[in-house]
Amino acid sequence: MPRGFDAIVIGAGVHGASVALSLSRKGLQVALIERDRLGSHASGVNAGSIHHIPRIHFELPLAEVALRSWEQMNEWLDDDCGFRRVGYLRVVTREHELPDVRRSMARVQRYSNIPEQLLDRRELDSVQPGLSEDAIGGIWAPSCGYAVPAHTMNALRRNLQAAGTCLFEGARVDTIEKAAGHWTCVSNGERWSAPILVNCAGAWGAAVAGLVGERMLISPVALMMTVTGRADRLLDTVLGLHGQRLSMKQPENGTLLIGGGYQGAVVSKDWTTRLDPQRLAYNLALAKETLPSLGSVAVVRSWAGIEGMTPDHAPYIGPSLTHDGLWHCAGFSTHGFYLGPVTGQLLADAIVSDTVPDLLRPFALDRITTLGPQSPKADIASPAA
Amino acid sequence: MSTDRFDLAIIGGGPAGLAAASMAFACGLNSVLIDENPGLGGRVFHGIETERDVSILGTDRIAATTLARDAREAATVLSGHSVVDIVRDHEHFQIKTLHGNELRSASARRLLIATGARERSMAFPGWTLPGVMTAGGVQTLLKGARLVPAGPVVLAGSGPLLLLVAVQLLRHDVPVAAILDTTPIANIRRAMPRLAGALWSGSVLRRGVGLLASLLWQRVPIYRGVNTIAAQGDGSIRAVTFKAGKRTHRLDCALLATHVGILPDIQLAGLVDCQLRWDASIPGWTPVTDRNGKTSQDGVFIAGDAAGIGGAEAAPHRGRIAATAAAVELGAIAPDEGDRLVTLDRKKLRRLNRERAFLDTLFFPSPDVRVPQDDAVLVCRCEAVSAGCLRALAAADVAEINHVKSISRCGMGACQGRVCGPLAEETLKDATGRSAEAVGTFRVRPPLKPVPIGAYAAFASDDPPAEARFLYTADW
Repeated sequence: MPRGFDAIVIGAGVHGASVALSLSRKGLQVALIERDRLGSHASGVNAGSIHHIPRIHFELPLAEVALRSWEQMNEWLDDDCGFRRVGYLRVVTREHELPDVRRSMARVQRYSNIPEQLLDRRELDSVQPGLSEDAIGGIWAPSCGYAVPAHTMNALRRNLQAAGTCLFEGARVDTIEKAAGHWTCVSNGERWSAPILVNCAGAWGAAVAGLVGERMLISPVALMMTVTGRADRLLDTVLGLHGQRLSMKQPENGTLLIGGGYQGAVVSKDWTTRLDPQRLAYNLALAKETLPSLGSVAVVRSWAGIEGMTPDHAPYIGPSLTHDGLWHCAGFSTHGFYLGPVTGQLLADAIVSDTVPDLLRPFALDRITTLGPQSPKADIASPAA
Repeated sequence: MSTDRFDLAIIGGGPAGLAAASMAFACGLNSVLIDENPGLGGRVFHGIETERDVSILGTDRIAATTLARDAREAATVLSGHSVVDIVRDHEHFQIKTLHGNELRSASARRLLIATGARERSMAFPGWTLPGVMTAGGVQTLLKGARLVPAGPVVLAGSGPLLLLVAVQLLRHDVPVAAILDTTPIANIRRAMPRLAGALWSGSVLRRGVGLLASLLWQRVPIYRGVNTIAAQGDGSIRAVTFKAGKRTHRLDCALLATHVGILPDIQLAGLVDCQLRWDASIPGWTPVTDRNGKTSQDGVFIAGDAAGIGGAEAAPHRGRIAATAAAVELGAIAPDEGDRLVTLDRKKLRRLNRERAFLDTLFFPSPDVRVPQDDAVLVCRCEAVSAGCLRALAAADVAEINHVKSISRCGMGACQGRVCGPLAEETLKDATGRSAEAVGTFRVRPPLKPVPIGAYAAFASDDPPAEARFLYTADW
């Protein structure tokens, strides 16, 4: 006999944990099923950036609400999750990019109330001293910052426990059946059943959808991160580089976190990751070029987390196109962490009321289930027979 | 940046690596010997190439000098190169080393890890005070940097190295105030049945008896059955307190050297994903190897203490066996030729194993030296994580060590868990009653040594490297 619940959430990353917590607090009996450990993949090992992605216009209204949610994390989780509002500075080093910079800022202004200022070189120095001579200006978003992912996932774990959510770790769902309006998930002989099923499986989201015959396009990627030993205070903000891949920050303990979306490799056999030394070296070279004083700071560890990319680099959030009682929330394409808590709360509301709020509507699954001409170059492998 | 290509890369210039280099040459392999020290010899024969005085291990050191000289002729030697990362690139291993502040790269078709052992840390109140260090660390300072510490010195722990360092200190006229022997009395009873076999087979035991006699002759007090050690002092160590039997003692000292045995250095094995197993006789994690030192990873061999503690005397034999196996795999020599080359090595090893069994039993560390007893004692000194903090996590059912790491930051500092790993594992096992396999061991992440960002920058291409293509698939 399967164990009966009101809802089953597959995947205990930041999204699954947030949805499960919100549903549990609404009085539902929730089973949260995780193939590995709560927060053991991208949610727990990402760099913790809390800032919007100007490129994706339909995500900006959600981003604005998400930024506010981190300020209020104490009220939701009784823990600040290490959130620090240090601001996000996107440095511009190439003159020819200025028109694009202005377009990007106009887009943010049009779709949200997230404050951004264009800084000239002198203003840049007052926000972040020590930048490369090439820096000609930057976009300054003071309401952004960073949080600590491991800390956040641990706070979620404590709150899930308090809310009575049943967390099952080390349980990979192999089969999903539907009968008489109830979903039954099976993992290694164990069975759970509920009328509502939420797919929060991140990089594994398409695989979970595939178990019920629904098609999603999510490519698992391994994103590389690097941390240094403790250094003197070199970096006051979350720092990015316009038109290039770079993201770095220096949390309070003095270590520097450096990334920017450089890919290692995913070994699909055992879901381990491999680093790519060339891309890693380039990432670090770019960091040093942007902030030259980094040169003598020593790297102590590099690693990669597994993340799910969609063709337009925005997540799938919403009801299934093929089944009642099934919801998807996956494929956050490297910017899932900061959106996680608020998306989870909104999705739980949507599930209980069976109405998708305006903020989540643009992420519906009918957006892209096939690759259009504008999509990034991609290989599509056929689903498992 | 150019990459040199070799048949075999031997990492570690101790007795196993040196002997492997000579054997690889004899088998016709083009090999590179990579070692982080300025000269060859490893830890046990540190400074062998520059040292003139024949110390207490006279004959051994002369033999080691020959090994080092032969190795230099047999292989390309990269001294002062710390291996920081290894990645497999089709049929080759790309080995990245840090030389000064510069990253270098070498490539080889086979890998022979001979990085030896590391000392087990012992954590007790005051162990992070300046003036508390491991006996191996004291020895390295004496042999390598020729730094003679100021006395009086107290040595605490268990095992032959403790006696050796005491004698070496006395030779340098450093006063040794006492030796605090933590060997559990019960171990002696358990080890006795293996004594006769051990006496006939190896030399460690006979030497140990000699060292002991020398210490007794010089009237160094030896306290037996010692526990509850604490370093006292403010700013640096002034005294050590401990219990021996029912009595509590206090001895003034300027240096406390501890030694509670050694563990295989599994950093490189972990980095290249060799399968590890829990060896209850050490106790500690050990790479899984066959009798030739071949690991679970294709093309990776491990020899010497890094493949499981066998001692310095066994190491050259193990190095030769592994190098021969690599040569057979590469097709440089025929399998039966390989067998013939190492017949004597195998025979010698069988004999030495009898002594090893005795030593392992006698010096098996008791739980109270493996697990910090006091909650306030730091396990991870880099990130200031206490034993009490780990026990609190264990009580909340967080006991898998990589999970503990992500929450507590234990093992995330400059040492990357090399010092605190075994301490943290033992603390978690003790607190939960779980097996070593359930607690696990720290995942090894590159770089193995801190590397300046500037060194990576010099290594990087000018243009952004090609991005990986996305693969959308439901087949997971």
